[in-house]
Amino acid sequence: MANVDGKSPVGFWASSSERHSILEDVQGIAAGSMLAALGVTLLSSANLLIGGTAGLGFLLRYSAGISFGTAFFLLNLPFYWLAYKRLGLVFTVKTFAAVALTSVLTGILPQLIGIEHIQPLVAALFGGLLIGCAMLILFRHRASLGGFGILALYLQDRFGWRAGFVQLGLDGVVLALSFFVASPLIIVCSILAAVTLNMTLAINHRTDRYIVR
Amino acid sequence: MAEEKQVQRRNLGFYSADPSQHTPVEDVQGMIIGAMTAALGLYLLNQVGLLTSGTAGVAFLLHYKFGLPFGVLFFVVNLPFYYLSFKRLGMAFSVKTFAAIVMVSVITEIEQQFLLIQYLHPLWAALLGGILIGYGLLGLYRHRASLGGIGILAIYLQDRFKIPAGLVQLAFDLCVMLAAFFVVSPETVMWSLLSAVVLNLLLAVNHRSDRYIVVR
Repeated sequence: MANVDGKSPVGFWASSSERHSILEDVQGIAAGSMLAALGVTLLSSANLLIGGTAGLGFLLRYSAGISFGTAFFLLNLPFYWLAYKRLGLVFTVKTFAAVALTSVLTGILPQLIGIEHIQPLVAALFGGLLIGCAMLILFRHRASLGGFGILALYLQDRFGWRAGFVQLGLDGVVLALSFFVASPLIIVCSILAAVTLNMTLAINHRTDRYIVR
Repeated sequence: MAEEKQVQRRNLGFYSADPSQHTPVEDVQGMIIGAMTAALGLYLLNQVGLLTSGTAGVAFLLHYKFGLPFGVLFFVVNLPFYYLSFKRLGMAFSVKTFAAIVMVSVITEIEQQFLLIQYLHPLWAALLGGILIGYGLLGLYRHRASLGGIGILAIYLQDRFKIPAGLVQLAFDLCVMLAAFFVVSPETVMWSLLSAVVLNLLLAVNHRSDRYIVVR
């Protein structure tokens, strides 16, 4: 029923406007992960941080010297079980693919692009923007970059805590921890990056406009 | 009257109650995001001397050949098309397109003061550049703007002389790539071709007004 003219759902161009074909999802996830990895590279070139599990990844990188890609991949592992229980197998698999791809790309990007100098303010704007766009693309293809969002949704269901406040609280903790590894200027720029990221998502992520499920 | 005022107020807000309409604030942020993304993509291509399709490709050609600043060239190359755009696609579209092009020109020019790239592999420049420009254009198209140029001419020629717009655009891009052989090395042209293919595939797959349903 989803395919009105009976075309294969694997083609590049799905005949139905309500569903993405598999190839469409693949290109969306690949492009989203590449943008996210580039955003992370810009942020880390200026030693900036951000919210969420990515923020924790940055904290580990700056404090313990663990590579961001490894830290980001490992930090997201505990959340897949919750994602599977709450948001289904397809979402979990896509999220795993996006997180793995982003982790690998952030690992190899420094070999392919060397940033000599980046102004922290510019890093915050472009980094936040790129990760925001990447998450927008991933959300629109029913994937995510894992982490706190899933936990927040779970806690809301289990204990009735508001998901938005849980997420804000967790990001606040990450930010508070960042005072141990970063200077005030870096923290101000990091907040700017987080605001840019979340404003991009808040304004543009609307399921009543991009109607594909 | 009071109701009208309420609607007016809501239309200027961040969040439009009507999914089929963008508010001015939404349009502004969409255009800023689109222009910034596209400008970063063009900047990456510029770093390794790659080209892309359309008027940006022409600007790159002149930039590499004569060493004039890319931002200025991009702005100038697009000037002749505003008249057509105004006649055929309306005032709002032309003004938004003009604003987007000005932003891209300015950002690509000032970016080198804030972001210095030491080395960049041409493959990644081609892929990331194509994806960034592609998503920049996608954002602009969805807010009824563009980065000007050949698309507008192609639509005009289709209406005036019944030449298919897709063919006009393809022919023009082929000319840009052919001309590129005289300016840069064949290897660079190949990377540029890859970048242009990524860009246009991305637009072809994702630009669907039946999915992103905002009317204007």
